[in-house]
Order: sequence, then C-alpha cells, then structure tokens
Amino acid sequence: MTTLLILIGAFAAVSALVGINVWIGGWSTSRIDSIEDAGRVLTQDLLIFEPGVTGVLAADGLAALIESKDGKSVGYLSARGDTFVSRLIEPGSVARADLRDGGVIMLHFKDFTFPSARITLGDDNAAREWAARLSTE
Amino acid sequence: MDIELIEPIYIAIPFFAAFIIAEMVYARTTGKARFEPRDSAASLAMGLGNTVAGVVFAGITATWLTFIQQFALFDFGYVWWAWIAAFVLDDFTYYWSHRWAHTVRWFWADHVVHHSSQHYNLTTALRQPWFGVFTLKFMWLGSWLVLLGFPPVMIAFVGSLNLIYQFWIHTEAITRMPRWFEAVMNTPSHHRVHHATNPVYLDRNYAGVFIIWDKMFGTFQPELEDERCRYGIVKNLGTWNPLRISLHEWWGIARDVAGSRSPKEALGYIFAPPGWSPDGSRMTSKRIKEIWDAERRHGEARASSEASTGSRLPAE
Repeated sequence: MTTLLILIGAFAAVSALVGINVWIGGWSTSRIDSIEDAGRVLTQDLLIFEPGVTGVLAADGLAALIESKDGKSVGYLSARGDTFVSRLIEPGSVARADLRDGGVIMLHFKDFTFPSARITLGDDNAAREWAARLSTE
Repeated sequence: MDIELIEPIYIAIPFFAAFIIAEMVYARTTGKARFEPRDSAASLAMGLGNTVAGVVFAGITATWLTFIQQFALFDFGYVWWAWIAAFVLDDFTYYWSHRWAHTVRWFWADHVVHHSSQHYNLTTALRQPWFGVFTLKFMWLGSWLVLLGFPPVMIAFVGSLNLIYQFWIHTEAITRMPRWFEAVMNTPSHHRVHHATNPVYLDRNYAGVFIIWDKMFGTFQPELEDERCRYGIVKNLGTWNPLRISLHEWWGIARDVAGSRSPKEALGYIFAPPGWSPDGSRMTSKRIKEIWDAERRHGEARASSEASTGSRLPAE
C-alpha cells in the first residue's frame, strides 16, 4: 500500500512539473525557413549528405525533403517540438507513403525511433510526386 | 559490524524538483536555458520508471555484493578514510563503467536513453534507463571494491552521492565555474561537451565527479567558445514515447543479430562500438570524427591556398 502511495505521489509530482513547464512557457515550435536552411541542417546532422537541387518545403514549415546530389537518397528534416530531427531516406526506409487531401503525405518509416510523419505540402500533385519518389527510396 | 544508511537519493528528490522549477523560471526569464514540455515529460517519466526499476533491481545487486563480501581481501569497516577512499575509487569505477557504456553497444543500449534528449537541462539528468537489469554493469564493475574490503552498504551510499553530484551539472544556466574547480571537478561545461553530438565532442568527458580521470586517460575535451554544443544522439529520436526511448537500441540489436550472417557478425552487433556494421556502411563515433577531421583539414587547406593566391594577386 505504501509503495502504491509513493508511486501515485511520484506520478503526481511528475505531472505537476510538466504542468508548471507548460504554464511557465518559453518555447516555440521550430520552423524551417527555407530549403537552403534545411540543406544546411541536414548536411550538419547527416555528415555524409550532399543536398541536390530538388527539394520541397512543407507549407507549414514543419518539414523539408531534399534529394541528395547523387539522387540515391532523400534527406528528410522534421521540426519536432522546438528542435529538428533528420533522417536519410534510402531504398527500403519507407514502409508506406499515404496521400491525404490537401497535399498531405503520411509517411510510415521502418524506423522504431521515428514511426510516422505528416508532411503538408499543400499541393496534391507535388504530394503525389514525392510520395512516389519516397516509396521507391 | 554492519550499519543501515538511508538512501540519499530519496532525500534529494524534493530538491531535484525545486531546482528544476527554478531552472524553468530562469529559462523563461533569461532565455539562457531551454525546456519543452513533451521533452520534459519524457525525461521525468524515464526518471520515475528508473526509480521503480531501481527498487526492484537493487535486491539483485545487494544479494550479489553481500555474497561476494565473504571473499574480500580486507575488511576496511567504516573508518573515516574508507569513506573517502570508497568515494574516489567508486568514481574511478564510474569513469570506466561510463566509458564502456559509450563504446560497447550492449551497454550503450542501456545508456543511450540518458543521451536521447536534444535538450540539456535538469530534467535531462533524470532521463535514465528502465532496463539496466539487462547489463547490471555497475554490479560487475563495482564488485572489485567489495572484494578489496569496502562494505557493500558503503559502496551503495557513495554511489548514490556520485549520482546526486551529477544532477546539477546538467544545465546550460551555469557557464563556467572557478578555474580551480573546472580543473579538478566535473562541471556543467565539461558535461555539456559529453552530451554534445558535434564530432569534436563525441565520446569525451566520461567523468562522474572528478574530471581528472578524463585528463589521465586521454578523453578530456574542454568546451570551445566557437563550437556551440548540439545535444542528443547521432541519430536523434522522432518520438517522445518512453517505451520506445527505453527499448529502441535493444530493438536495434535484436534486429541486427537476427539478420546477421555469422556468429562473428552477431557478436560484433552486440559488443562492438555503437554504429559498427560488418560492411562499414554505418558510422561509429571514430568514423564520424575521421570524416569531420578530413573535411576540416580540407577546408583549412583550401582557405590557406585561397589566402596565398589572394596575397599574390596585388603583385601580379
């Protein structure tokens, strides 16, 4: 019983700290300003990635896709909270790329640490084109 | 003679919470530290789970250390100097335990959890693994202290003090401590380097309390003014789910071993450094540093060449 009470107390304390964090504020969701910026972050994060000329920035600035210079892979940059996460999408990386209305791609990765992503391109044709490209990657 | 000591971490927990709130307020008012609620929630949930797991697994460690105590070479008892010696030697053991946690994938699978946040604040200190039972690395490595003659209770106590010390160094709020302190002790500056993924900072500053171990064993790297730390892991996580955070590297090992073509490959996936692969298609920290160093040298050579060409131009 005592252990259970301690656990409940600890859970309440953790919840309270997170609540205080929300209440105090002070962070903002990251946004990708341009394809060039996305290319710079991808090069820095992935180290062996050389951005090519083909790329697309999500309409909401929360994601960017850039084909590599050699055309063999795609660099994916995702805004996550107030930070960014990068992935190199190579053949076999994507389990499924579904299309949604409004030029949205729902990407499902074969990556335990990055299960799925939503990329809002705002253009159905562009979404279809990139979904097809990512599915073959 | 044996004594009972209170677990100091339980006493420290309320202070941890108070300092976290203070750092949140500091972050909000100065902008010199960063918090994000989902990241904080994940870190704190990991800390809570680690404490629960610790209660369960402490029994295993206590049983083992008590069992081996009968084979101890000496019996130092609880004399004053034994406490000091135990604290220093425990920190020495921590250094090696921590170093192997970064260079042996089996141990890294456990420790990666602590590095998985892209933030560096006091909640990051509490982001600890849930499945330490898979490695029990400190139990094995700490055994030598008991076999030497230190009581298990003393080792457990100084081990807790070591962990409590490491709480406050997980912050961006403190730039530098006084020079003499930076020279001997692990500090926020030294530990920021340890949590950074910049190639120059990778696999450096393993110290717990005393930074002297890194200086002695060649793994020390000071924080550089012109190289701002980027926190996290080489392949940052796209999830805040504590279970995925806990299991991701174990899952990766299981998948790699299942796909390995020989027992040698399987052992490599388990015990080689993180990022190892038979064909070298993935990157270890060493390989990342090599690539970075080659690019840096190439950049310097190009700049030097351009400078010398530029300097000749007026004469031409």
